[in-house]
Amino acid sequence: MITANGLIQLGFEVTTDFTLQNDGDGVYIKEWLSDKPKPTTADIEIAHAEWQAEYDAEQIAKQERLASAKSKLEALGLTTEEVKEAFGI
Amino acid sequence: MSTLEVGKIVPATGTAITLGESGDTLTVPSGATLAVASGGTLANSGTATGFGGNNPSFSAYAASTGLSTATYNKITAGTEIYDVGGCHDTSTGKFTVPAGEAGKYAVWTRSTVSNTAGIVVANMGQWIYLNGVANQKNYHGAPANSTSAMTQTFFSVFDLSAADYLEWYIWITFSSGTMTLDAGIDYNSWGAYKLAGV
Repeated sequence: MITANGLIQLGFEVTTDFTLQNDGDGVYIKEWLSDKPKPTTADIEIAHAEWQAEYDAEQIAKQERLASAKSKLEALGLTTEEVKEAFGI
Repeated sequence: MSTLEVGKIVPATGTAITLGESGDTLTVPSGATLAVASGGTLANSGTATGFGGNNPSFSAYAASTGLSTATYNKITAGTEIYDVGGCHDTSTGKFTVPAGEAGKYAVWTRSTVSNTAGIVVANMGQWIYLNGVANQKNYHGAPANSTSAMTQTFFSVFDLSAADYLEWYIWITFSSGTMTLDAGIDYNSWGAYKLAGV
């Protein structure tokens, strides 16, 4: 499947290098504006999987940092409610 | 039936003339014209019918529609609220100006989108395509880290010729996961109507 995130992962920029459109039958490249060759759908799918893995890892790391911060604050004596009200975590 | 041949009718006294009586019908025959000269006034205090009003016109809404990021997503409104003049197609999502109905048309859209938890929306836009090409839009960036449902509207006037057609697209950019145009008349609709008198 063609995705913007896959194309971005390959180094292209939205509207500068490409525009995508979906008329109801799936996403396709409406305009290819880059001077570089247009990647194949398979290339885009591989790049999208790489982007998704990086994004998921980033989200997990973010959650771990928040949990660590919360734990340290509670170790200092703050209650769960105080941490939530003061820091939103 | 007798024929009254005169060049001008004026009141015998005063300034008012009444034609016919209650229940009568006064007819301007085919090929004849009832003209109001410059500076004259045609004043209506009763009921005027058959003048067209703001038609052709339609309004319709879509089922739940998945939206792809950084993509022009076509919205097909499969259910009509009304369609005067048969100008909207629920299968293609196109509004087409009927023959003989060129003019200025007001067009609007209304879209509520929502997402799965944790998605960050960067921007969103309503786009109206004219004859298959992006033409007018309402586009803005979303609040930073926006992760909740939001609604966007579009309103503009198009000067259209007969057979011109319009389509409704949504552009949206978000981080990951799934964005959806929420289903039904409570959450989305679009429509158009011809402006009378301009």
